[in-house]
Amino acid sequence: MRDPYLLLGIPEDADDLAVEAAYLSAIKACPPERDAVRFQALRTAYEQLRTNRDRVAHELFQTAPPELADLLDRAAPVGEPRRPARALVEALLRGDD
Amino acid sequence: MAKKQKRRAASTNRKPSQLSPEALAVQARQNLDANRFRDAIADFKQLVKVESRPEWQQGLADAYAGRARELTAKGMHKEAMVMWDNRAALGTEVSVSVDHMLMMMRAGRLESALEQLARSSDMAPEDQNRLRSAIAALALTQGAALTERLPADDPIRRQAPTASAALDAYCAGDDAALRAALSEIPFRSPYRDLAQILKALQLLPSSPIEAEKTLGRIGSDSGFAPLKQAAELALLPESTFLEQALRLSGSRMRLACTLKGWSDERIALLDELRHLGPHPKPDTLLSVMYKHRGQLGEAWTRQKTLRLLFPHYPTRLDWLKTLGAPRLTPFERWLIACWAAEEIENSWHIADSWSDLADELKHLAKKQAAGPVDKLRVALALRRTDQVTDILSAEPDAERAPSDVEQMALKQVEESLDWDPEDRRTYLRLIAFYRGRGRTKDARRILAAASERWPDDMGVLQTSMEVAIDSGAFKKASTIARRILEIDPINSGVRDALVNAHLAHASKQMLQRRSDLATKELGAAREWARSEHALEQLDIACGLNRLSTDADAGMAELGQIVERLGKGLDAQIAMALAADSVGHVPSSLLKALKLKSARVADKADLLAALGRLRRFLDRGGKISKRVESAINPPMAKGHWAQLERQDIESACETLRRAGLHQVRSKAARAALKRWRGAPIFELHAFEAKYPNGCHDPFNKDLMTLEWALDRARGDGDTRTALRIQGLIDRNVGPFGRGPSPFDLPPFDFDPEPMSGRGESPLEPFLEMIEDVGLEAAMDAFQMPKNLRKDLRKLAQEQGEDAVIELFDIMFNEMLSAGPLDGFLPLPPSPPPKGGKPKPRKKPDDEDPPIQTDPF
Repeated sequence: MRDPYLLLGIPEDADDLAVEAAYLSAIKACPPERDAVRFQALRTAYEQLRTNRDRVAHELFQTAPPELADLLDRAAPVGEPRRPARALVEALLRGDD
Repeated sequence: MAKKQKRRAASTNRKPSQLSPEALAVQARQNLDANRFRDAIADFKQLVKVESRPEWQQGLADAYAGRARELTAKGMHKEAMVMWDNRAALGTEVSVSVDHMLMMMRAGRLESALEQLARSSDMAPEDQNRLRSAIAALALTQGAALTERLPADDPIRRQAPTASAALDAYCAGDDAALRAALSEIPFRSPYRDLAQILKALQLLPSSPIEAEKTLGRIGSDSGFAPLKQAAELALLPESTFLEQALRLSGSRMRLACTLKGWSDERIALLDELRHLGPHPKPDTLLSVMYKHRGQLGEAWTRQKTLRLLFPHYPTRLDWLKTLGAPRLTPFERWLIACWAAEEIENSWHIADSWSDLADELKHLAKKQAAGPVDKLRVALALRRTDQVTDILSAEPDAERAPSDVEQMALKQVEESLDWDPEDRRTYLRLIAFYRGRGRTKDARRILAAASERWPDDMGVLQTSMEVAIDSGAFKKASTIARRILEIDPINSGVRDALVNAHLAHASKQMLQRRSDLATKELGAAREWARSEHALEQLDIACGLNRLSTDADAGMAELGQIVERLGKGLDAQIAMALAADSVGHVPSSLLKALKLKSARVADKADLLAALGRLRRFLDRGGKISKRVESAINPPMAKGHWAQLERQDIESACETLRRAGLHQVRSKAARAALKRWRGAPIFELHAFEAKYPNGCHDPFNKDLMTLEWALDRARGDGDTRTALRIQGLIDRNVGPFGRGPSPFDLPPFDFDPEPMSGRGESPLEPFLEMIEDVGLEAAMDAFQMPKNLRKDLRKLAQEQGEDAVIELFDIMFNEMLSAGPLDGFLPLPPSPPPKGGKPKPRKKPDDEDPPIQTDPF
């Protein structure tokens, strides 16, 4: 199970309003027709963190080990889409894999 | 390696075929058609040595091409290139292969590729396009070094600068320049695919669907296909993309990651994680986490370390030492111990562990001047046992709930309200628990606290009404109901609850032959009844009440209702349930109403009757023996085979709940005739046939059940498989069909004189209770059901220690009475040790209703 804080992109001291805002923004960016799996994961994450009681319960009772995606998101979150360097495109066209 | 060497040796040592050329030609063609390229190559080579016929030359060329493609697919590019070169060496009669040329270009053998290109005039147009597209892609990477070798008027050479400018503009993010460059690339240009891809990339990330459509127009054999594939990867949903990113590597994935917005740092970490595989071992993951803990954050790394550690606690605490991480704090130790206890699924262990953690949290809270979150932590820890085990469920589960754990959990949950008094759910849970156990006084105590905090909350108001009904305080209940309906005018549940309460009270009055009071109650019920079901209940109750004052008028009223209900099985069940609730004999009433000879129930009637039965059970009703004997024959006669599969499955479940084993068996057998061997019906048929268990482990029906288990597993029907497995376990016992270790012959040394518990023949059983609990011990000893029930009751009331003590007392008493040959413990009544006091007899109006819904 993914770390819900990382899925919603919020810090661990986020309050109810911040959690809700992050959830609404995330599902707007990822509606179910685009990525149903991620949408469901976002929904689950929101339910886990919705209230202060939920967040403390998550801290005490959630035992799922970290996933590789959690490590990636925690260490270097995804940024804005960017354009590749020409050298990378050339390497790809040359077949340098 | 050995295998490879062997195969290679076999190939080089192939002996020339002794077949005639004609026969060999047939064999060679067969090998080629069957994609046995190595054999085809050998055969055609032998034929070409005999005579260089054009068809044999072409056959050999095709065999080389086939083998080359086969090797390419395996990633053996060098070996594939040898095959292509062998093919090209056959001479100019063999057509140029575009695959060969593409491979030569990829291998950097540009000269050879261009030489072949000069011979490509007879190539198919689509092959020419492929080739030109591949050269165009290469021209972008090699620039003038390649294009200057092409004729000056070649489009690849002429349009190379524009295509290059478009690529530069895209990479630099200069969209205006990109649009300008793209507009100069003609439709039939060898760079057309590049133009399409760059247009699609421009659409990212805002218009992924349009981008996908544009990319879909580019063939997978285009020279620009790798760029297209990278763009397609970037279009994948986030969840799928990561899976691919962990699987693939190289420029394609790197480019896709860049398009997705991955930083170089993230891509580098991905490369590192990819080597761990999709499911790395916890210690490996821990090492990586500690290596990157600067980026991950110390606190986060620590939290996740605990999660990785707990499945291996306490054996692998050395991992922390190896990593140089700090030792576990007392809080962390308690927390991991709690998680580990939950894995074992022992309710006492769970309660004990969370209690210890709560104590530690309370200690920390006192030390650090507790804030709201600290208090919440204590409260949640105190509620956890109930949350995990559901031990304070409103409906007591005699199979599962040892009373000492229940008391412990109850104390914890009550205490949790001191730390977190704002959790409405906990109040309602406690009230439901106390109501379920008949502890109305405690329910009222909690309800008072909840009502003070949330006077207008619907949940609290509804619970207040239910508690009032429990106490028979109908006036109070009506007042609360009116208040609820003021807030929520369409709350039909409140109306139904009040109608049911008045009906139950009316039934009680009828039982006590107080028809006048019953009439009053029924009048009060009618004030609230709105739904069809509630009005129907009232009509039946009124008819039954009338029977006591005017039998003919009562029968006439009931007869009209029977007519309305269709005079079938549904009517029979409605009348039987109602009659039983007011003390009439159901079968006599059915006879008086001439329902005994009712028609055989068809599909619609069966479904209606089952629906009525289900509603009755849902409201906590229980089928009495009198009702069972009245409805069993007409139900068993029903046309069960007419039901659809889903309906008959649901019917079997309802009949199981109702304890109507005979009818359930009939329904399951009818279903098995239509759906032969269906596991769910085999399960119902077995359970209905052996409601008290089958004690012969070699019974034929038990074997059939095992086949059904296999079939359920094969069908992927996990739920049914688990149910059947549980049923088999209960019937065969924990030791399968082999001898039970408890049936082993006695030791051959003389028994010592018996004195005290140590020598009791019950010792293994008593020790097992201490070790694994009463339930598991009774399972292991295959204790008869009636004895289990009594022991369970005793344990619930006084704890499992009382069971052990009781057996000790019994044993000592029997020892003093005489020899113990053939001793078998019998279920005694519990010793008078201050068990649960009987509820005080209340005044008539305060008595709780006996049944909430007789229908």
